[in-house]
Amino acid sequence: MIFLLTTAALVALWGGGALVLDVAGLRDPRAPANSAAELAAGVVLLAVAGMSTVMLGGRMSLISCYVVLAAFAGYRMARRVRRAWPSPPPSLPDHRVTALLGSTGILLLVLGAAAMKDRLLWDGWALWTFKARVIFLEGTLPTTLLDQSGPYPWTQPSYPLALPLVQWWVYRHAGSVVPALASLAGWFCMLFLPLTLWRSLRREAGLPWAAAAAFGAAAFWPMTRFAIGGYAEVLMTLAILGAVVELATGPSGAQEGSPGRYALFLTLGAVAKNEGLALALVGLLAGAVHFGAAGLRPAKKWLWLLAPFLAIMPWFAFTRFRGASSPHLGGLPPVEDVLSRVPTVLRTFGELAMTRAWAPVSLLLVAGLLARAARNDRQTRAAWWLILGYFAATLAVYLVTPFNVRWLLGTSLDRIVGTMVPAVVFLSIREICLLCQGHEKTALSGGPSLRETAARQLRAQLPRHSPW
Amino acid sequence: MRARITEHSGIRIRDLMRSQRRPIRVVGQFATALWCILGTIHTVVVLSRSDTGLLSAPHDPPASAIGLAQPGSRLVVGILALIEDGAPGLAPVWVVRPGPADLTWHLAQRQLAHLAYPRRVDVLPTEEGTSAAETYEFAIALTVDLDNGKWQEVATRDGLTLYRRRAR
Repeated sequence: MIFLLTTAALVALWGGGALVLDVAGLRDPRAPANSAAELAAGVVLLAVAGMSTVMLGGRMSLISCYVVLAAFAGYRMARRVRRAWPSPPPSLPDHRVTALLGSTGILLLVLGAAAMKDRLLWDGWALWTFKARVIFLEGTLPTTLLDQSGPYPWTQPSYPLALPLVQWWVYRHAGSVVPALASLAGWFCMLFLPLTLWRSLRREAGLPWAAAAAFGAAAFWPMTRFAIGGYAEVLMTLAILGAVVELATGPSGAQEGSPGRYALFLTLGAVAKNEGLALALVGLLAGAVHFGAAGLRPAKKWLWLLAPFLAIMPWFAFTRFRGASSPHLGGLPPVEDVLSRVPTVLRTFGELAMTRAWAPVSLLLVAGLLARAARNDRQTRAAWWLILGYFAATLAVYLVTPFNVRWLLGTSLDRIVGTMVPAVVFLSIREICLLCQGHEKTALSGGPSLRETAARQLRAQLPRHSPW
Repeated sequence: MRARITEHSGIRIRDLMRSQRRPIRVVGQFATALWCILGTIHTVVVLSRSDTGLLSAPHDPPASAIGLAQPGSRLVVGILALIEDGAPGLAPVWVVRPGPADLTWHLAQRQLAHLAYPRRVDVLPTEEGTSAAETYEFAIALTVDLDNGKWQEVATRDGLTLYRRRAR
């Protein structure tokens, strides 16, 4: 019974998000990341409502959440907007694709069964699920948990509350604080990663590539481990993948609401972890260039791109006012210390990149970058800049953190870098497939880019027997 | 001239990459397949382990709430059972840490704080706990005997001893 209620809670979270996304005019079933955006909308709405409740001294309750959802439903019914989405032509999967998809499903079910046993890891106990338990018992986060000098200093009071509130949501529906339910919540969020990879690659890369990518994501244990371990990295992974997919696949005229969904994914990252602020900042720069070139009106563009900051800044200010601060940005160390860390950081990252299931991802990334070098596609340029910018910001934290850098690398590098793996896989496979198909996507301009035009003119001017 | 050379170098690199599209595709396919295979093997190995795997034997209810593969989990189970049986109410509990603060005790502290909430359970060494003894009504010790004049032994379990502070 308890697991049925858990399932109902998670489906309600997803359905509520779909409703909110539809009311906002951002829901487009044709968009590859639409399903992930529906879940993201539910999580973001719950996070913003929950953090606001805590800041204002209120108490979280299921009834008030459903009242809000009912208001959205009423508004949706009153508008009576009917949207007809043309259904894509059915494609017949071959045996390889059927086998891969079937294996993916079986593997995900096995991982779900594993999540029902106690799987919480360190931060799951100490931080995320602990806050969910407190909110379940008290209805809010009491002052003792928001005080960095209080009896629970390891709970990182400055961290946003998206994952604890998702876990609280499940606990409330189940009527019980069972740690396995938190693991199941993480597993449920993880389902959207192979789903998004499948949907985003099947059209341009083909069904076999898409199925393989989905299976690989399901089989990538470093990601699953922390998803069912009660960590918020699963939400960050979803945010990064969704944002990259929206940048790479839209706006192309076929999907509506791409800038809004892009902002939604950045907001998901911002309300999930402190690293989400870095993602939102890098995403703001990438999105400003990308959507500006796409012809989006400036006011609308900036409204979307600033949405993540509007969502998280009140919580940021609230916790800072109470004395909480990010543990990694307590002040810059001396320059010589920073420089002395560079070899350690790069060596550790290199070792990780050559380990087990990480090594193929590194090889795929190299192939993807080579394919990128061969194509002149502005469509994916912003997506690559987003990934690389976020990666650079992550490495920068290791260089300036006041903690012992070896300890921090050993305890966090795999899960932090793991959040970028699905997005890297998507971009690399997409670049390789489009290169091989000979597609020159310059969808933003509808014609050859200025660089390509200049290159052709240059070649035309060169003498026939030029040594170049 | 330099701009022309740079522009032309870029064109040649791009042409070179385009001419290598088949090897790039083969490398991509190989890497994706290898990712799937290695990931599957890794996942199967982890899930097959006797302590964390799907095939491990079911545990006692309190123990099943805590990852037994993690160090110190039986310690946490024992402490929680002692508190539940012999320490009524929500008065804070001091768990005497006998040695240095290693990984086991750090994790035990966090699990105890989580599972005992709203009751405070603090893991402290003897000196620190003794100086703050007035804060705690109960104490649990593993290998250390507390001052008999100040603490009264209440219960024992799995090598753990539950003490109650004597009234003045």
